[in-house]
Amino acid sequence: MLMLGIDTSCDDTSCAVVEDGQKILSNVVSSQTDLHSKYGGVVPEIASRRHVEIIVPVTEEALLQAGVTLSDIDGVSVTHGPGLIGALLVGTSFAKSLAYGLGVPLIPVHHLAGHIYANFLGKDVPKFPVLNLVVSGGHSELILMKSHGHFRIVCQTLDDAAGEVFDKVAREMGLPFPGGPYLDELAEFGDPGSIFFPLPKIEGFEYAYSFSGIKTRAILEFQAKGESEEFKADLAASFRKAVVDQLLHPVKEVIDKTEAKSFAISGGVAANMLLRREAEALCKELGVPLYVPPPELCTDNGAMIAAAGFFKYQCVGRDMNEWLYLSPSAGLELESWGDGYS
Amino acid sequence: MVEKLANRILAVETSTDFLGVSIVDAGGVRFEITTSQPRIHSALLLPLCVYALEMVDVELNDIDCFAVSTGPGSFTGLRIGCAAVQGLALARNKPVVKVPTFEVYLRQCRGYDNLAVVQGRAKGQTVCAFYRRALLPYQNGEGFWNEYGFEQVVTIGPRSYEEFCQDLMKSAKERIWVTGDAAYEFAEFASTCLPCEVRLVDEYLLLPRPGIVGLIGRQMFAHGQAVHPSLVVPEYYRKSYAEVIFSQRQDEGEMP
Repeated sequence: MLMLGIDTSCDDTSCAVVEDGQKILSNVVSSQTDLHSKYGGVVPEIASRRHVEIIVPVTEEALLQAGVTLSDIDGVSVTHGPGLIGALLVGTSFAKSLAYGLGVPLIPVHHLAGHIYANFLGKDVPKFPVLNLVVSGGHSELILMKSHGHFRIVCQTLDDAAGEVFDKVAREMGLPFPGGPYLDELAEFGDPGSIFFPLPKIEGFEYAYSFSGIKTRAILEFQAKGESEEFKADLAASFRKAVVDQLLHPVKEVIDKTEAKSFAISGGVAANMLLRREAEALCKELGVPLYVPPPELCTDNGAMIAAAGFFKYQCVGRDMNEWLYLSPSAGLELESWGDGYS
Repeated sequence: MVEKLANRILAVETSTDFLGVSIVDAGGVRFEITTSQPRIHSALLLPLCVYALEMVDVELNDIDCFAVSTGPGSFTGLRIGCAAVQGLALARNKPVVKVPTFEVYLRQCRGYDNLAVVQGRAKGQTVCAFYRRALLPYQNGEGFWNEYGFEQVVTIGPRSYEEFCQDLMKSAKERIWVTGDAAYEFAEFASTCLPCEVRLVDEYLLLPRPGIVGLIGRQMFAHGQAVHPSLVVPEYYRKSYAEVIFSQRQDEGEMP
């Protein structure tokens, strides 16, 4: 089954062709970073304008690189949330019409499910149950999957997402946009033990993340004594360690409790060097394999949406008439697919 | 001679809260449907297209060209219309005509003289223009909407109500007619500050009719003005708020 995957949830316009949810034939991502960098963050209206300009060329490029034509496509998957509503509207409107015009099913995909399925592209895929850590500019969640399409959120952030605080602290420190990767690089030169960041103590939840407090602390530290390059590197290293420590803090306990057979990290922050190193060490200690997608599949892309769409289509089947009335949702909740889990 | 246009057009109108779809062919407007429920364009647009095709009993493949109203209007609405038409046209390998929304107003309001079109209102700005019945009809030239006998006096652009009224002050000596999705609000404002009579056009013509989009589309297609779906993008006439603020700050020297 040849699946077209479309994602316009934030500032990247992407379209991919994936065969049987596994083999990437093409994965085209048109980044808008240059359009947003002078504003220090993604401007929704500018992102939406760019999506509607570029979505057809990106789709045509994906087909060309895959060496297929539209008539070969068996289904269209599209992100219908969560994300920037104006941006999502472009992708879903286009995908719905395209699927209807081609006479193929449209499979709406939750963006988080997309990130998770980045780890299922390829031959070596995680064994169930798999514990997923999805970390990006918009998400920080631990999601347990017993089988395809069976999602249980174990831990999520009460305030900011991990990627968001990396970007915001980096912006405050004057690093280029998007700041996360630059902060990661700078942190390699600093002493992670130089500035103490407490682990937030959160009551009323079994597991939960909170990043806004340490973000504020990092910004205040920088404003107080941030001039020297050395201090900046130390601050970056200490702050990065605080975020990564918190992200991985519940993982051991959850894996022990749930007897998860694999641990998978996805989302833009999965490219963070310290997170990878620490996760590798932890998985070695626990004796479970770690899965992290290659960098191009960590950030938003169409291939992961096509992969998730393929598996969702297998779970939910052919009765999908409602999609004609599909409308995206900025705050979409992650729900499991159908009843028939494989 | 009456020009016979035999092509079949599926037209989409999403520039305002008023969502509409029409099918136009040699027999004129064969089907037209509209709904004025705001904020559900993305859910209803495609079902309405499917319904229109069913009602006229034609296949999607029998559509020769798609027409879409490209603005000015609601940014999000315009993008929904454009993206939907891009998908249909790309899937069926058919071209698209981009119909300027103000041309739709001019065609449907051709019976009026002194027409003010006021579309959209956000951050204190509306996109507006003023047209006068042309004294020299059917003369080709820039700024003339000769087809409908209008001469453009105030060009299409973003303005506050105050600014637009100042522009109108110079040229509107007699009664002016107002149309567009901000017509009610603007007419109320203008009647307090313009010396002439300010009236709304017929209520039926206050929002762009999808049938008119189709009729203009059919004509544009016959005149070779159809384009590839990749070129179908809205005409906003207003910058995004972030861009406006950014350039203001730059002017004030607050930013590099």
